[in-house]
Amino acid sequence: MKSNLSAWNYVKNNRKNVATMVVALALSFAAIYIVHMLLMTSVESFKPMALTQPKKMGFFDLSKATLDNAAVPGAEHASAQEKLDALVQALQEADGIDSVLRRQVLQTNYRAVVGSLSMKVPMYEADEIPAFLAHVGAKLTDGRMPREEGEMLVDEVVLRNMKAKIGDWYLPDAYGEVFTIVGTVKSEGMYCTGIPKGGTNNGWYHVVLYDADHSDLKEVLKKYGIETGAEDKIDDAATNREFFERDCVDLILNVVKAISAVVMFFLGVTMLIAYVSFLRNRMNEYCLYASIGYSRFEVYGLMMREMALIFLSGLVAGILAAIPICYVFRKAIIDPRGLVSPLWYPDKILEISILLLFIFGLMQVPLLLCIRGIKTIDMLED
Amino acid sequence: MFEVKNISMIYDMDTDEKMYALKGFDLTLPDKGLIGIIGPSGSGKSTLMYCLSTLKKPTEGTVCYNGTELTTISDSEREKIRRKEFGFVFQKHYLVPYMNALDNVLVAAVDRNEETRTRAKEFLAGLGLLERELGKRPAKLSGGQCQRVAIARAMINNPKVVFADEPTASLDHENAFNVMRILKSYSADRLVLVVTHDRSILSEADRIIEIWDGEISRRETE
Repeated sequence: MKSNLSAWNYVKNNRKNVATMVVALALSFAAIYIVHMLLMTSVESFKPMALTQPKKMGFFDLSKATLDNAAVPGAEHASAQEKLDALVQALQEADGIDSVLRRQVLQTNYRAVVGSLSMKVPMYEADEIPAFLAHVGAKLTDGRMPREEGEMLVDEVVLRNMKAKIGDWYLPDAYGEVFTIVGTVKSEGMYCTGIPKGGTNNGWYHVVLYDADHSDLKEVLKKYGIETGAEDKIDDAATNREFFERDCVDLILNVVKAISAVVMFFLGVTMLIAYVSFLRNRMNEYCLYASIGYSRFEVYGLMMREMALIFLSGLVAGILAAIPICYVFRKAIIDPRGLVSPLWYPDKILEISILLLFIFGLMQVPLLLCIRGIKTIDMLED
Repeated sequence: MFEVKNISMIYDMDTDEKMYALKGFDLTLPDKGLIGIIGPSGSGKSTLMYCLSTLKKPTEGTVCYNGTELTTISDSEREKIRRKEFGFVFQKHYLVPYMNALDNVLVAAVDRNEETRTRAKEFLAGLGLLERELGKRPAKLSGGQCQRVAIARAMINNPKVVFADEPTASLDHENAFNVMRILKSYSADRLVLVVTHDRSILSEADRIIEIWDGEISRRETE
């Protein structure tokens, strides 16, 4: 026998109650999704700099102790400096490595909505810059090439992030009025470079321009008898990837998870209280159904369909609310800062849906208690 | 239609002072007609009706409905019989507060199609509800109108038996009379059992069974 208990009956006749629950679910969904999207801006925006850039360029600065213990082929018993010179010579001759030069470096500072990323900027002589740009695949898009000391080329996305323009000082808060931006470049790895000026810099490093197959400097150095340790400074694809995954992706995902857990906890408690009250108010109705011949299973089916309809509506409304809000945030906050963030995170939608499903499951407790408590009308009237 | 044998209903079975709502009597009810079950409050008349309608299971005795022993069948079979063959009018109307009059009738329908919808409208119209009142919720209807909606709900599946427990209790004299007229009309080819303590509404009953203290004290045939 077909059940005529329609979930739509309650929904269409109790729009305010249903709307309250749908809005609560939708807002919770949207809140988690928007927070996720904003925080993921850091991950998405930092990717080119943290993952792409080190695939073509790395830095190392070896300690004297490491060099003393090194067994550089042909210079096993030489002094530390001689071993270093031999190493640089060997690296420059190696396939897959374009150049190894000891150069000063500056820092870029790329700010996301949450957090910022600092990366090293190699500083070259004017005549070395074209070769650097050619190696990293960067093209001058505006302004001119650096000619004098203290002139900088900045990636156009980084420039937008700095809210600077050609002719402005380069990071005046960090370096004072020393470096001037004279041109912008465009590349996948958001590279910057310039000509050093005086001692204003972030130290000296061996800047290695390599291909992706040689982007793990520790492994490359090992081939030349160098066992690097904690006292050595290595900045390559491997160290950046490790940093990015640990300090950026994992950290942000954990923050999002913590926020999701808090929002879902409060949503769960609120929904539970609201649902218990909802069931109590409808107890006579369920008793009527049981009295006129509907089975408890049919009544349970009705409750489940109503709840599913509410949760599904909340989910759809949440997506429909979250995406436009994220779009507005992107236009207002993210794009102007030269940051990147997709609007569409299917994994997150799935994750939030699973959390909502968990709350849906939690609702089974009052629901089953209610089903057990259903009486027929004769019992109510006794 | 109903063959009741030695029916007893005992409350507080586990205590020393057992309370007999029904004290072992036999009863046979026909296929059609308006049967009144009358008695004072606490006499057991409602308990008898609930035992006949499968809502309660008697402590002892048997209730046979069209050859089916109702006390031994499963819960789901009892539900099926209640849904398809019985109709209920309770003391309070128990209408679903958020549904309009028409939906309150249709909620009990076994087949929900356009034909049933038309029949529900005809029932309600026949019971005196105007077209514009079909879309009103119970809170916007009078007590009499609500009870008429409850009667339409009881009749929507053309049940073989309608059980009405104090159907006029909350109605004024005129509405009470109207409700009884409707039930009488339905009893022309169906069985209608009306439980009441008000003898005046049973003036047109085909048979009156008087219950006193859990026992049948008088059987009258009009």
